[in-house]
Amino acid sequence: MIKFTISIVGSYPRAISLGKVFSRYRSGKIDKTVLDKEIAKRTSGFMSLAKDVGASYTTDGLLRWDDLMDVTFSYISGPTKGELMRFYDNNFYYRKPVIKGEIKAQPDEYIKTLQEDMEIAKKVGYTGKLKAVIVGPLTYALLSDNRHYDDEELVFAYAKEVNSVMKAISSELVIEIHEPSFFEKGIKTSLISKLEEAYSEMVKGVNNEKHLITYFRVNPSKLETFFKLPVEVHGLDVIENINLLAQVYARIAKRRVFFGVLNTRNTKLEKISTIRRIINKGYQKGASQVIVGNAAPMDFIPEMIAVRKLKLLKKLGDKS
Amino acid sequence: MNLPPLPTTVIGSYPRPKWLREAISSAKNGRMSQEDLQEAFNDAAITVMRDHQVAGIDVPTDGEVKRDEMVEFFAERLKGFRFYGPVRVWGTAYYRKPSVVSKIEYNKPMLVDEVQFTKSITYTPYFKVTITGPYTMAFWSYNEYYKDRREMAFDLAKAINAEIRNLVEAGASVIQVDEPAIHSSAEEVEWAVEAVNESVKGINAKLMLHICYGDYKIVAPYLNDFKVDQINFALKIYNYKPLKLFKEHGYDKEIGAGVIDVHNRNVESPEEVYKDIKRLMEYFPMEKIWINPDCGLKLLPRNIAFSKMMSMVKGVQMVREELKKSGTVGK
Repeated sequence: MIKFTISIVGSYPRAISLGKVFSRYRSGKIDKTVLDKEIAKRTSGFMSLAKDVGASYTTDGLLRWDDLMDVTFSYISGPTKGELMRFYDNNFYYRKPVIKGEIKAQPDEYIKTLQEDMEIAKKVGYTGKLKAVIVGPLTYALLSDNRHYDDEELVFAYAKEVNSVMKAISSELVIEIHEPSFFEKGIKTSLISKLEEAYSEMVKGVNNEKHLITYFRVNPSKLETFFKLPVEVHGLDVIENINLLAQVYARIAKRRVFFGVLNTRNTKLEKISTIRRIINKGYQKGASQVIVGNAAPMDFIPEMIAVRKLKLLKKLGDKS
Repeated sequence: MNLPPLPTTVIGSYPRPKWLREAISSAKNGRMSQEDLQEAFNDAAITVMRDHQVAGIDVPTDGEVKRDEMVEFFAERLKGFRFYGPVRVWGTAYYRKPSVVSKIEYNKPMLVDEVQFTKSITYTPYFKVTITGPYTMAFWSYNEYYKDRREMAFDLAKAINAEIRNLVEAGASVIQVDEPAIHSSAEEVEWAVEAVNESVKGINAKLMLHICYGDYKIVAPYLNDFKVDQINFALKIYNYKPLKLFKEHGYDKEIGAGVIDVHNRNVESPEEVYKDIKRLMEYFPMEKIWINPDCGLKLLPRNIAFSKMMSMVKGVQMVREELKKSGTVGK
C-alpha cells in the first residue's frame, strides 16, 4: 500500500446559492452578519468534506473571497479594486489590484477570518492542519495594475509587507503561498533571479510551515530556481504536465513535495492508477514526503465534480 | 450594404427586460406555460429591437434575449454535451459550463427560429445574428471525449458551419462569429484561426468576428488570416492602446471599434465618443471603421445600456456632421 498525505489547496467552488447571498448583501438587501453566518455555514460544510476525505491539510475553501487576488485586500492596504481581468487562460476573471501608492500590511481582517476558521475547524472536528492562503510576491506583482513601483520594487515591497502579515498568523496554521505566475512565459529572467532573495525576506522569522503552490504550467528550465525558494513544501501541478514529470522527479530527492493530481480544469475524473503511479514514482525518486491534492483552485469546476474528485483521494490507499 | 459612414452596431446581447426575467422564473416554477414564455421572449425581442431603433443603431440584433448564455445555449442543442452544474466566471456571475462526453454533431437548427422572428420585426434588412465560434465553444467546455482541444474545435466548426448555412438560407445577411477566447493560448491560436475559417467556409453573407478582453498580442499576427470581412474588438476598456498593435501587424480588414465600456456603469458622453472616433481615424481609414460597444450590453441595467447606445450613436452623428461639412462624405 502506498503512503501519502492529502492537502486541499486554494478555493472550493462557491455554490450558486451562496453567490445569491453575496448578491443580496452587495445590493443592500441583507446585512453583513447574515452573509457572514452563511459563509461560516458553507465553510463548515467544506471542512467536513476535508475531514471525510482524510485531508491532513486544508484551506477554508476561500468561499469569502471572489478570487485569489481578492484575498490580498484583506491583508494589504493601499490598492483599490480595478477592472476584471482573465485569470490566466481560464474563463474566470479576477479584479486587478490597482496600485497608485505605497502598499502596507494591514492583516487585521484576514487574521480575524483565520481565527473564525480555526473555530469552525474545531466545531466540525477537523483535526488536520488549517492553511492560510497568501498570494506570492511574483504573482501579486504580475496580476496587479501597478502604477507606482517597477515590478522588482513591487515584488520586494510586497514581500516585506507580507512578512509582517505572516508573523501575525497563528503559529498553529500552515501558510500556503500561491505563485501561479512562476512558470508563466515572458517573465523577465532578472525578476525570477531576484525571487529567492524576495522570498527570504518574506519568510524571515516566520516559523509556520510554508507550502509553495504553483499551477497550470510547469517550465522545466525554471525548476532549479523554484526548488531554491525557501519553503518547506514545493507544490507543482503534475496532472497538466504529465509529460514533464521526469524533469520534476529528477529534482525532488530528500524534499517534501506537493503534487497536484486532480485536474480542476476538467470534469473528467482521474484514474486512481495514474495517481498511485505518480505518488509511487515520487517516493522512488527519493522524495521525503509526497502530498497530493487538487492541482489548482477549484473555482473552474462544478461543485459536484469537485466533491467527486476529492473523494477519489479516499480510494488511494493508506494515508501517511 | 447601404449604410451611412461609420455604421453603428451592437455586439449582440442586451439586458433582458425585468418582466422577461420574471416570466422565465415563473415558467421555471411552473406558474407560466411554455407557450406564454415563448410569447414573452418574442415580446422582449421586439422591445430590444425598438430600443435599438430609438437609439439609432444601423445594424441591430434581437439582444440575444432568447439565449441564457453564449456557450450553454449551443451546447444544449448540439449532440455530445452534458452539464454537471454551474461554475463561476467572476464574483457572483455563473454559467453552466458544459462537458463534451461524446462526438459533437449538428443535431437540428439552433437559431433559425430566432432569425425568422428577427426578420419579421426588424426595421432594417441589415440585422445581425451572432453565433459562438468553435474555438470559444471548445475552450469554454470541458473535454472528456476528444484526444485534444483541436480535434474538438474542428468538429464544432463543422457543426457551426452547418448552422450558419441554415441561417443564411433563413434570411440572415450579417453574421457575427463570437470568439472571445481566441487569444487565450499562444500555442493554439494558429489552428484556432483555421477552425474559425472552417466554420465560415462557403458562407455568402457579411461576416464579422468578435474578439474581446485579453491579450491581443497573441492574435494580432493572425488577424488578416481570418476569412471574415470585419473584426470587432473591445478597445475602450484599453484606452485604444491595441490600435497601435493592429497597425503594426498591418491589419487591413474593417474594424469594429468598441467605444463603450460595458464593464463600467458610467455613461460615456457623446463628446467622449466623438473624440475617441477621431482618434480611431488616425489609425484606420473612415471607410473601414464601424462603431460598436466593447462587448454585449447584457450585464448592465437596461436604462444604462440604452443611454450608452444613445451616446454612442450621438457621438457618431457628431463625426458624420463634421465629415459632411468638410465634404469628406456626401451631404
